[in-house]
Amino acid sequence: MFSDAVFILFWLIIVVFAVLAVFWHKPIYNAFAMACSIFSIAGIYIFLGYEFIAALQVLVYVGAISVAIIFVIMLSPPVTVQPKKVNKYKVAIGVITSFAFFVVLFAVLYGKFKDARFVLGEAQGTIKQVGYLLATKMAVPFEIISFILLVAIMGAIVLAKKED
Amino acid sequence: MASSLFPYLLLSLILISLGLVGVFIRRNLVIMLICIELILNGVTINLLAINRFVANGHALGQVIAIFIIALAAAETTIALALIFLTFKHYKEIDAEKLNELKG
Amino acid sequence: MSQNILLTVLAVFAPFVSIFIIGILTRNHKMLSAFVAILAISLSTVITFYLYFSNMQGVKAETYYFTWLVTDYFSLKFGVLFDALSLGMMIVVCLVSLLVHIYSLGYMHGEKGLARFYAWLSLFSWAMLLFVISPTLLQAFFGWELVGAASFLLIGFWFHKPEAAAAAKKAFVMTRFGDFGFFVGLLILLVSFGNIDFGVLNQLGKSPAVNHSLLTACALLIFMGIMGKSAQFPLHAWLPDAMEGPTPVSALIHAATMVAAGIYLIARAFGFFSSSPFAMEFIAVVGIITSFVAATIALVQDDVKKVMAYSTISQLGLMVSVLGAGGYKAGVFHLFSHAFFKALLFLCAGSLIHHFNTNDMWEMAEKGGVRKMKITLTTLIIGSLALAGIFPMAGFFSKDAIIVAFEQNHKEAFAYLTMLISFMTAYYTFRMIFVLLSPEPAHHHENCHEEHGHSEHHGHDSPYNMTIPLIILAVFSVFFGFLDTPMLGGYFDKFLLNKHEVEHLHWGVMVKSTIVAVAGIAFAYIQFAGKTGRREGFVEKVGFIKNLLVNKYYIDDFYFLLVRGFVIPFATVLNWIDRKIINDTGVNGTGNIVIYSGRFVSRLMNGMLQRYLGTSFAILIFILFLWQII
Repeated sequence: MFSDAVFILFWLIIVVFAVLAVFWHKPIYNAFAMACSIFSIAGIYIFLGYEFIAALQVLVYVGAISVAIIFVIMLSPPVTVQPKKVNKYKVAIGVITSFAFFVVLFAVLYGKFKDARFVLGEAQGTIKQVGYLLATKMAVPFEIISFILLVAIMGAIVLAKKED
Repeated sequence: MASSLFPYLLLSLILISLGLVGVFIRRNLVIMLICIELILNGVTINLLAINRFVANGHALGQVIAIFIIALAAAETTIALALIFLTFKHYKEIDAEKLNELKG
Repeated sequence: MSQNILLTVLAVFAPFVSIFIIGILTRNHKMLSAFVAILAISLSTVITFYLYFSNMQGVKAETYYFTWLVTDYFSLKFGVLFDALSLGMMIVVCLVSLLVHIYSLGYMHGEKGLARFYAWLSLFSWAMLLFVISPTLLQAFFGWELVGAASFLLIGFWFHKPEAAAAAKKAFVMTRFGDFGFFVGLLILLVSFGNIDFGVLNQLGKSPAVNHSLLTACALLIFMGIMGKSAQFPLHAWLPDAMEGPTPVSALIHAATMVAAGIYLIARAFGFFSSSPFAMEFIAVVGIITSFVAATIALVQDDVKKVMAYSTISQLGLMVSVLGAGGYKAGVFHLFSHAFFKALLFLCAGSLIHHFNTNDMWEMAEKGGVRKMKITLTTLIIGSLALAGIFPMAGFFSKDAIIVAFEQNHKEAFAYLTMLISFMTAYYTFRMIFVLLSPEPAHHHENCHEEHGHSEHHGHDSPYNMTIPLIILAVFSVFFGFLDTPMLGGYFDKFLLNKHEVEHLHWGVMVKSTIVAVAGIAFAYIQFAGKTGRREGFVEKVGFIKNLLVNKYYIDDFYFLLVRGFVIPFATVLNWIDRKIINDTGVNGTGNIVIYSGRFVSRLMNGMLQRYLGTSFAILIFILFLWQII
C-alpha cells in the first residue's frame, strides 16, 4: 500500500538521521541531521492527522531551533580536535543504560500495544478546536507558556550579551 | 502499517533511546543539546500517537504538544545562551573538561 | 503524707542534698565539706530520734507511695515504709554514721581529698537510708546497689595504694556476683507478681495459688545477693580485704550497716523467706558455717582490723543463721547491738592505728603505750566484753537471745555450735587485748624516745573528736542489751513485735554462755597475758591447723585458681571473639563498608555531568525494571 510505503520511508529517514545526529563527529552535520530528522517527524504527524502540529513542528524546530543551533555552532570557533581519550566507563554505562531502557520499554509497549489500531484520516481535533481550546480552557497555561518564552528570550539576551 | 499504533511508539522509543545515548556519551555540549531535542521529539510523538489512539486525536493532546514545542524552544534558547557563555568563559564546550563540580 | 513519712523522707534526703552541695560548691574546701556532711547527717539523726521518741510506745506501720512510671505490665513506684524495723535500723544507721562522720575529722585529719571522703560518706548514708525505708524489693535493690557503689568508692579511697584498689575491685566483683543472683530473683518476682511491696511479698507463701518451688528459687537467688553483701561463706573473702579502706569506713560500712543490709533484708522479707522451709534451712546452715569458719580464721590473725573483720563475718553468720532458724527478734536484736559494739571496736582499732601507724597487734605491743591511751583502751575493753558476751554488755543479751532462739526452734546443734563460736570469739578478742596489754620491754622506752621524733605522742590519747564517739558507742554497747530484759518490761519485743507478754529470763542459757565466754577469756589469759614478744597460742602450736587457718582455708587460693584456670582463659576467648569477630568484622566492618562505599560514591562524584546522568538514569531503569517484573 502506498501510504504504508510512505510511512516506512519517513520512519526510516527519521531513524537514520537521528542516528547521524547523535553519532556524527562534526557538530554542524549533527545539527543538519537533526533538522532532517525533525522535518520528517512532521510527516509522521500528518499520518496521525495533526496537520497544524506538523506545520508548527516545521516552523519552530526547523525554522527556529535548528537555525539557532547552527548559528551557535558557526559562531563558536572550531573546537580543536584532540586525540579522543574514550572514557570507557562512561560509554559503557551510557550504552548499557540506554539499551536497558530500550529493552524494558519495548517489552512494555509491545506487550500492551502490539495489536492496537486506529482508522487513518478520521482525527477529531481540528485547528478550530485547538484554537478554541487555547483561547478558553487552556488560556492560562497558554499565557504562562508565552511568558516563559518571553523570559527565556530576555534571559538569553542577558546571558549572551557582551560584558562591559 | 501506518494505521497500527505500535510503529509510532517504537519510533518514539528509538528516538528517546538514541537521545539518551547521545546525552550520555557525546562530549560536545551542543550535540548533547541536539540529543535532548531528539528526546523531546520522541516524547511528543508518543504523546500524539497515544492521543490519536485513545481519544481519536482530541484537541487537548494537540494543545499539550504545542506547549511542549514552545517549551523546547525556550529551553533551547536558554541552553544555547549558556553554552555560548560557557565557551566564552572556559574556552571549552567539552563536558568532560568542565568538571569543577568534582567532589 | 503523714508527719512520720514526711520526716522520714527529710531524714533520708538530707545526706543526698549534702552530696551535691559538697560536689558542686564546697569541694575545694575540706573543713566546709566536712561541716556540710556532718550537718546533714546530724539533721537525719535528730529527725530519726525525734521520730523514735514520738513513736516510742509502738510504731504504727505506714506506707507512702509515689508512682514514677506506669506501664501495662507493672508500675514503678517508690515510697517510704515506716515501721518499727525500719525506724530501728534508721536509728542505728544515722547514729553510727554521725559518729563516724565526727570521728573521721580526727582520723582523716590532713588527708587529701577529705571533701571527696565526706561526699562519699554522705552518698553511703543516703543510699543506706534509702534501702532501709524501701517498701518494695525493687527500691531495696536500688539502695542495695548504691551502697555497694559507695562501699567500692570508700574502700578504694586511697586508690593510689595498689592493695586498696585491688580490695575495692574484689569487694565490688564479689558482691556483684551475689547481686547477680539477687537481680535474677528480683526479675522473676517482678515478672510473676509485679512490683509488690514487702507486705504482699511476705504473704505470698500463704496463698495456695502461688507456686512454692518458684518462691523457693527466688528466695535462694535473693539469698545469693545477701551472701555477697553480708559476706557469707563462700563469698566472704572480700570483707577482710576491704579493711584496706580507711578505718572509719570499715566501722560504718563493713561492720555496722552495709554488711548488715543482708540481715535487714532477710528480716524485712522474713515472711517471704519463711514460706520456703528449704530456703530457711539453707540460710541457717550457710550462716552457721560462715560463723564457724570466720571465727576459726580470726584465731590466728595478727592484724587488729583483720581480727575484727573476721569476727564481723562470724557475727553476721550468726545473725543469718538465727534468722534462718526462725528467730526473727534475736536476729534483729543482735543486728542492732552488734552494730554498736562492732562500730565501737573498729573505731578503737582506728584510734590505735592512728596512734601507732601500724595494723599489727604485736608491733603495737612492742612500741608500747597502749596502757596510756586510757579512753581508747577502756572503750576497747568494753567493746571486747560485749563481743565476747559478758554480762552486762549488749552482746551478752543478744547472743543469749540467739541461743534461746535456736533452742526454741529445736535446733540444739546450732545452739551448741553457737556456744563453741562464742568461746572462740571470747578467745580471739581477748587474745588481742592481752597482747596489746603486754608489759613494755624495759629497754624499749629509751630507744623509742631517741629513735622516734614523735615521742610526744606517747602518753596522749587520740583527739577528742575521736574519743567522744567512742564513749557514746561504749555507752550504747553497755546499756543497749537491757532493752530486751524484763527489767525494762521486754521493751524491745514491745517495740519491734508489738508483743505485750514479757519473756522471762533464760537463766540456764545465761549461765552456760557466761561460762563459755569466761573460759575463752581465761584461755587467752593463760597463753598471752603478762609476757612480752611474739608468742603462740594453742591454735598455732598445731601445725596443720595453723596452716589451714593462716591461709584462710585456702579460699582465696581457690578463687585465685578459679580465676586463673577458668575465668581468665574464658575471658581471653571472649576478648578474642570481641576483638576479632565483633569489633573487626561487626563494628569496624560496618564502618569499613561505609568508608569504602563512601569512597566509591565519591569517585562517582567526579564533576562529570554525563556520569551523573548515566548513573542516576541507570538506577531509574533498574527500579523501572524491578517494578516491571513485580
